[in-house]
This record gives sequence, structure tokens and C-alpha cells, in this order.
Amino acid sequence: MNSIWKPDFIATYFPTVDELTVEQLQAARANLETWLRAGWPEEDMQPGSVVGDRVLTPFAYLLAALETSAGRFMSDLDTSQVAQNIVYNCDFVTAFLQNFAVQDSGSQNSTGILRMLFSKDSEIALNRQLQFSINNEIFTLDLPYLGELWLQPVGSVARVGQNHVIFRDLGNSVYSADVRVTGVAITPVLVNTSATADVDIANLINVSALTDFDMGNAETSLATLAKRTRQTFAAASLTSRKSSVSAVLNLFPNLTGVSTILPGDAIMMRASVNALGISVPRVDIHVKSNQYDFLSSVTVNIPFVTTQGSPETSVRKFISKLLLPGYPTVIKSITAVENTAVVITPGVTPNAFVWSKSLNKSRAPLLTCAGTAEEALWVSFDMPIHPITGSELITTAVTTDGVRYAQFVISYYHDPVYPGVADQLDHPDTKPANAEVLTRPFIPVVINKFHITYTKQIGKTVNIAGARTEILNYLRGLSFPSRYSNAKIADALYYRNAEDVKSISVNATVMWSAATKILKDTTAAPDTDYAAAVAGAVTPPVVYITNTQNLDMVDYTDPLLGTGGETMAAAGAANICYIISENNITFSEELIA
Amino acid sequence: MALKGLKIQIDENGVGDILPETINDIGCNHQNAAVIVSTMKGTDKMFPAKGTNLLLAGLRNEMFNSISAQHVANFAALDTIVFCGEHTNPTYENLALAGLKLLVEELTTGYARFSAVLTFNNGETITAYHNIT
Repeated sequence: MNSIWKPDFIATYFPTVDELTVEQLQAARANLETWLRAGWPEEDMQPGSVVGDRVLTPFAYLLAALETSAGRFMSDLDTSQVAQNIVYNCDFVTAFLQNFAVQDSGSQNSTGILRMLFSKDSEIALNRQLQFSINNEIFTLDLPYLGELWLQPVGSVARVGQNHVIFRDLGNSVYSADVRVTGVAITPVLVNTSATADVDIANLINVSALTDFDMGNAETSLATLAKRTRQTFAAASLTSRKSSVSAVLNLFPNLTGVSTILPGDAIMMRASVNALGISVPRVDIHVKSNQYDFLSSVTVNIPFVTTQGSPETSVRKFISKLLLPGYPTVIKSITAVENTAVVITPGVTPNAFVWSKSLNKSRAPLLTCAGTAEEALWVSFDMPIHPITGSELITTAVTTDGVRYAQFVISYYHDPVYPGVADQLDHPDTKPANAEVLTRPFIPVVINKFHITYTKQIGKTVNIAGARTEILNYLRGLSFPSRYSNAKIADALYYRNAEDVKSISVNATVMWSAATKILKDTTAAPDTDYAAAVAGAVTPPVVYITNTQNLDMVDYTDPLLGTGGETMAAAGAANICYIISENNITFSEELIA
Repeated sequence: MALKGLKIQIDENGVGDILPETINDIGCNHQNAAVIVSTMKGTDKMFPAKGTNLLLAGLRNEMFNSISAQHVANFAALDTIVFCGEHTNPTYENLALAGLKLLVEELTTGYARFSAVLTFNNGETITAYHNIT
């Protein structure tokens, strides 16, 4: 049986008599009088008359109230009004919004990444109903596909179309799996908060939060529901620029940046790959969470390769495939565990390289795979040598197989939220039928120096710490369509007593990939044939930014596109973000009288 | 076609009940003018300009002699003419109030009596009396 609405219209929508204005009342009376005159042309309805004062005037009040209440009712049907928190009848609006299938749902929950550490590298199936207790609150696995979650041994082939995480070897017989979980968090879940599973899991050593969890929206207000309704209408699919952004934000409301690159955009490189001349629309969706510059450190064993091939040729380098938790966007440093003074910086230390190779050349060739699941990485560098004595600075150990190796700590930036987003957007239910979507992180522009020279009046104090924090937050928060502006930097200082900002100098580099060498599809990997890798690799272009104007105006597309030296590097305002350390924001002060 | 309205009892006690009688044409506008003269200005939210200060002036003892009373009456007549002019039914423009003179007839403590001479656009004139207690 259909339920019939019985709205108490007077109680919920009618204004009080005092709320009606003279203008509303006079307009209502004039309209009513004009309307009535058609039927009763001889009736005296002028002010002072019996009908005018005792009939028409009260009815004019009623008409004005009806018009106001009708406006309020229509406002409740207008989601743009509700989205601004203008609601007159909450019960009705709640029921109305449910017509659009918008209601409080799991996507509003708190979400985060748990790192599970195991003592054994073996295949494990986790029931999707597995629960983790964190701060006495329940979190469950957030999985894109039906069925259980497979934890697979290091180096396994991914189970396509199934929920899977491949173990990463952290050394010392410790293997990690990062899993995305969701739940209702009353207490914020902070990095390293421990979690416990509700069932025993074989070989599980520890579970803890990899990063601070996103809190989600604890309470879904009507305004939030209305906003989501509007987004739902704007975001039917991933097939247009605006609807893609809306669709992604609808699925992941905590993302801080989403940008869509379509065929025809100058920085869309993948559309140019078309071996058969058949046009398959391709969409790059760059996503960024508020933890996009999360710095992880992982200890790995790197073999020292003395010779390769047959006949054997001398190599004498540390070379290894990198299997790191998450998808690195920048490798910051490689530090020897045995001798922490030995720090290898790829691209800076001579002969130290990180190598990148696409696992799927048709989908994400060359640099377009950077920071995604389609990218494989290797690292190689020389044995560090004492500059004077020429002795080796690292003592290698030997495995039972006779392989020499040493332990190193690799520090790298990655977005721990990105893998979950990419998995969801790759899901068959989400993927558009007529376009091929690649979810990518934003390309980081690493700012090594951000120096501000300002003036201040003698006797005034400028709150540098506050300005630094504001500038850091500003730069971290920037992503398309927001763009860098010097005015924001000046504002941060003016607000804290500076007299003027004289100059801002910057030194930044576009980091196309965590890699410094790009391997083509046919090129051998360095751990099998180092010499061939060196000969066949291409080097990403070096783009330095030395003035603030270019922070905003990064505009680069690979000039070698279509030649043997192509890298498919492309960056513009729509696909870059900024990585900066607080320590790299510095100030100079000049006093004025 | 004639303008029709319901009659109100207006006598020395002021504006009274609605009577089961009708009034026509300038009778309507005459009665409306009497109501407006008797209405204290500002008491009708819909028409803040409706009414006069005649009653208020009496209550404030601002009509302490015939000259002051006539002064108040002149403004009351003006307010009434202006208001009626602004709210005349345009179909019956020929019946609209064209002029109003309020003349002090009698003034004692707590009581004033005015004669009203109303003229209409069709040339008709009516003389009536108005009491304020």
C-alpha cells in the first residue's frame, strides 16, 4: 500500500503573520482584487470598504502566506538550496532525496590502509567479512571485486579480476601486505595505531595503520546528501571531463585532487599510441589524496652482481628489482644499513639509476605508466668506494645460494590511498564501455628551495613559523584547477606583520617518474643484462623550474614523440602537484625604518 | 453598472456593525472616506498610510481650541483625500472622492464634532457630520 504524505503545511512551511512584508501583502491584495473583479466587478473592495477590509485583506494575508510557503516547498525540491543547508521539512527532503538513491552509505565511512606483516611468504585467502578492531571500532576490508582477498607470494602473477595484494619482502623474513579498510571512526585512527583481526590468520605478526585514516563524513547531513544528489546527476560516468571528476569524487569524497586528461589535450600522450590507426578514446584520471607525499622507508636486500651473461662480463654493481609497498612517485634516497653515511641518491650519485619499464606497453607505455601498477622498477648503483683508500665502504653478506648482498633502506614518496582508488576505477562496473581509463597519480614537482625575501618595519615581529606552515599547506593543497599564485605567499606574510614581499626564488624539478632511466619494451632489464639496459634506455627530460611564474606555467610535451628517443613525458597545470619539505621553505628579512 | 457595498452603522458612537443593507456609488466612497477619517494611522499593516491622526490628536489633547482642532482636521482631510485617491477602483473613477473639508462644529472637553463636505468627481456633494469622543 502506498503511503500518502500528510504534510502539516501550516506548521512546516507557512510563515508567521509578522514575517510577511508590506510589499508582499499589498502585491497579494492587488492580485487578488484584480482576479476577483473579473467575477464581481461591482463589488466595492477598496480600503475602508467592508469587503475590502474584512474579506479581501485577510485573504490577501492568506495568499501571501501561501505564496511564501509554496516557495519554501519548491526550495525543498531544489537540491541546490538544500545543499546550502536551507531546509524547511527535513523528513520530506530526506524521503525526496532517497528517490535519487542517495542516502547515508559506506562511502562516507572512514577509510585507510592497514599494513599486515607476515612471517611467511605464502598464499593466504582472507574472508571478505574479516573484521579489524582499531581503537575498539570495527573496520572491514574495502574490496573492489566480489569474493575473498588473496594475499599472494612475492613475485606472483596478479589474479586479474579478483581482489589481490602481492606480498612485499621487507627483509628478515618479514612480508607486508597493504590492505584498504573502511568503517565508522569516532576516534581518529592515526599512523601506527595497532589493529587486531577477529580471527586467527596464519603467520600474521602485526597489523597497524600505515597512515592517518581519512575520517570520512561522520554525519551525513541533508546538505551533504543534496550535494551528492547533484553530483550523481552530473556524474553518470567517466566519459566526460567534468563528469569524470564528479564521479571519482563521488566514489572517493576525501580525495584532494582529481583531474581528467582527454584525447585532444596537449598533455594526453596515450592517445597518440595507435598502432592500427583505430581510435580508442583514452582517459587519464590523475588523483591525489591528502597523503600524496607520504614518505615510506623500507629495508631491502640488494644483490651485488659481479658478472652477467654468457660469456660472463664483469658488472660489479648492486642491482635489484624493486618491490616496494605502494607505487613510488619519487625515490628520495637509498641508505646502507651497515654504514648510514653511505647515501645513494639516484640521478645525483654517479652511476646510480632507478629503472622503469611498462608492464603493459599498449595501455601505459614509457612514462605514462609512472607511479601506477603498470610500472616495474629496478635499482642499480656502484659499490661505494672510499675516495682515498679505494676500499669498499660496504661489507656484503652471502646468501645460502652464494649471492652477495647488502641491506639498504629505501625512502620514497607514494600515495597510499592511490592503489585503492585505481582498483576501484578499474572495476568493470566503473570502467566506461567506450573508453580506456588509466588512473594515475599527479606528476610531482619537487621543490628543493622556496626562498622568500620580505621587509618588515623595525620593532615589528613577523611570525615566520605561522607563515611557513601556511605556505606549506597552500603548496600541498594545490592541484588543478587551483593554480599557484605569488599573491597567496604574499598574503601569508602580510597577515603576519611583514611590510612587503620583495622576491620569491624557487628551485624545483619535475619528477616524471621514480626512475631516472626508462626501458623500452624490447630492452632487457638491468638485472639480466645491464649493458643492454644502458644501451637501450632513454633518459627522462630534465625540467628545472627556477622562477615562481613557471611553477604555474609548467607546460611540457615530449619533443621527441614518435622518434626512438621518445619518453612520452608531458606535464601541464592539469597533471602536476608539488612536493616540498617544510625545511625547504626559507626566509630572508630586510628591515625598513 | 454600479459600485456596491455593505453599509456600516456610523453614528455618534463611531464606526459600528455591518448592517444588512447595501450602499451604492458615491455612497460607497462616502462611507469609505468616513472609515478612513476615523481610522488611526498605522493600525493597518497592509496600508501603513491608511487613516488619520484625528483620534490620536484628540487623545493627546492636541485639539485644545477650535483653531488647533481645525488645524488637525485639515491634515486629516488631506490624508484621506490622498489615500482614497491612491486606492480608487479605476472602473469607478467618476465616483472618486475629489475633495473633503472637515470643519469644527463643536469642541468641548473630551468631545469634538465636525461637519464633512465631500465632493466627488461627478460633481456631487454630500455634507455629513462626524463626532469624536
